[in-house]
Amino acid sequence: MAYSEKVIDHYENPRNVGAMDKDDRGVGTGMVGAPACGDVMRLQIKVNEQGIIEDAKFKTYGCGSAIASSSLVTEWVKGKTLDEAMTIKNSQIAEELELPPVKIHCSVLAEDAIKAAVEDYRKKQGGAQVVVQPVMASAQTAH
Amino acid sequence: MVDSCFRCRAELGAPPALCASCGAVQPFRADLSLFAVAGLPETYDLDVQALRTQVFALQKGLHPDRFANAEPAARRYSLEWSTRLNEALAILRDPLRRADYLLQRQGVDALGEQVKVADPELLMTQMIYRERLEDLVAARDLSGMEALRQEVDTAVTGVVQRLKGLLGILPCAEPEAAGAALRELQFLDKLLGEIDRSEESLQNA
Repeated sequence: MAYSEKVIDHYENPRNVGAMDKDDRGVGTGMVGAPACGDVMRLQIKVNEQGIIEDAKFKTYGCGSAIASSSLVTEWVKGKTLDEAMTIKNSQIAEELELPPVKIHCSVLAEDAIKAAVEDYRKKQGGAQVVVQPVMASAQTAH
Repeated sequence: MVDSCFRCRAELGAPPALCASCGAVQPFRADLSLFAVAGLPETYDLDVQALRTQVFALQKGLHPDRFANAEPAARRYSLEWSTRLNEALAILRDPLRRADYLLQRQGVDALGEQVKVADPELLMTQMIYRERLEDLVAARDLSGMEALRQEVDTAVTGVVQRLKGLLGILPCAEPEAAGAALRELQFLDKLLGEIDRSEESLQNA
């Protein structure tokens, strides 16, 4: 299966690879994994006083599509509000990266990761926000 | 239910593949589990050496070469039984695939493509393993990799032990816990594959 040029670009020149201090109150960390591929993804956001995402970092161990999906999301969320970041859909990621159907789940992982990061940040603020469990492994997933 | 030989009506053993009395190979039974095909009780806590011995003995009796001159139906049956026995050995010998098979039989798909993991402790552990491997590759530290492999092997043994407890008696009473253990095993298995690839690329470099 051939990767699109955009996937290869993000894979070869990943943006915003790295880590932030997960104990920093201004940092939200989202970690998700897909056992089927053994992928592990960590996505972190640094949020300023105005509730704007100033910076984003990621670290993904997985296939090229998973790396590209998380790299792209870190680019997209910078400068966005938390609510805006929450509206990112995996379908947008998949479309931008021209992911084939078998790799759609990699973009789902990236969507889950940014949502988890936002939720983590909100939880840290002890906010009035309802904390939604962003992703849950369902052992009963249908085929 | 006791099966009887389609030809001589003698009682059949387990698996009901070959009649001990008249030697006729029996019609293939697609309804039998991989355990039943191997003539073993269904449990995760399986002696792999016993499985191997059992399957090789059955393979010998059912080998298609033995039926090369038999009637077409018998040739087909022996091929079907042999193929299924190969599958049984391949899946049941592997702690990961064996657990997945048993959970699938209970309608639990723990490793499906859509299944995601949010358990922070598990993910953190996996992330740290991966980071360590990355550092070891950068440092070209083969002995460090070997130490990491042993650590991961030990972790695998621990999870397999847990699965033996959870899937020893079936049906499994805690499919969620078994599914979580199986997912952890899958992560560790992928990690071992990565360690293999990293070692190879360093050795070939």
